Amino acid sequence: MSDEADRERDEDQEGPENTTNNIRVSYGVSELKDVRAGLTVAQIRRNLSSPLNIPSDTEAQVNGQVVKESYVTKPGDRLEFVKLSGSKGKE
Amino acid sequence: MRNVKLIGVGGIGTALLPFLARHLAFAEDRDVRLTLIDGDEFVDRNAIRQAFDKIGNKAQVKMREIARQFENLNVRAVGEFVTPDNVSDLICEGDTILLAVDNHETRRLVCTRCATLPTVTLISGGNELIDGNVQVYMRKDGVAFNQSPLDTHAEIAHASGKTPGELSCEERAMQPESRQILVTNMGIACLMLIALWHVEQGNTKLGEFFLDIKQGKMVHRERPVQKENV
Repeated sequence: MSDEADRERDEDQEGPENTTNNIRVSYGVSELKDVRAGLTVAQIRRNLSSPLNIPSDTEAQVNGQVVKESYVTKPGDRLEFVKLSGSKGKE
Repeated sequence: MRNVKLIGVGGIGTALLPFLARHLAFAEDRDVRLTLIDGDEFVDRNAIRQAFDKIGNKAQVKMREIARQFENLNVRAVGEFVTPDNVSDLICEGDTILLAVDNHETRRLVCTRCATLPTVTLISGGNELIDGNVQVYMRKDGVAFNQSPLDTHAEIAHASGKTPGELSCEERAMQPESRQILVTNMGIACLMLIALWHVEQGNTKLGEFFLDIKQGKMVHRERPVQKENV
């Protein structure tokens, strides 16, 4: 496959590079790409806990680094509420 | 010789094993040894999700089955749980580890050991009832290609209980019964095999796969190594 085809495929899957004032928020298989930057992690957790089913005990990471709930998100950030590793078949 | 070790021959492990064995038996590099590691015993109630033809130690029962089925595959069994006392004997330089256990304590032990080895590949899978995840951690010549589950998963890094091998028989009997379903075990087993295939193809940008059976969705998220983790 050519590099150009690779790029097109990647953009189809990921969307264009995030150059807006938004951030990406993910939890497990779920991801939102148009969340407004400038909110704290705690605010985002509160707003999205129901639509993304985010449990209160999940750790927050921004761009691969653990952050506090008071962290203020910046445009382009990738915020992940890290889903716990599967263990005993909990619902 | 390439050493592939499957730790945990339970719900995910027994779903993965026949396909892992076939994959290895017909691989281009036939100089491979598959080791099955598990201290647990098959009991009748396991049959709901696990295929086995005899009651007995899981690693040994499945080793005999696989050896009969794939005569050319070099397969052996270690009928022990991974514990702090044996982890450095069981996990060695250059190993490819497929970790299919259901407790964070063993994961912490294995991840910690892998982080001390210059070259190692770890593919760790686990599931809840209808979802699960697979983490990939690769090191070559002392350099990590991606974050260890110890860096990304606090529940593993801070697991402070005993591994199954450190529990007494009474304590093991008191452990809560897993409530899992076959399809989720199979989904995670399939993702672990996909991860192994990627590793064999030289893909070093792996991180973590997530699977949700109910949503019918699988995603992969890269876990690029952070500077201080190199």
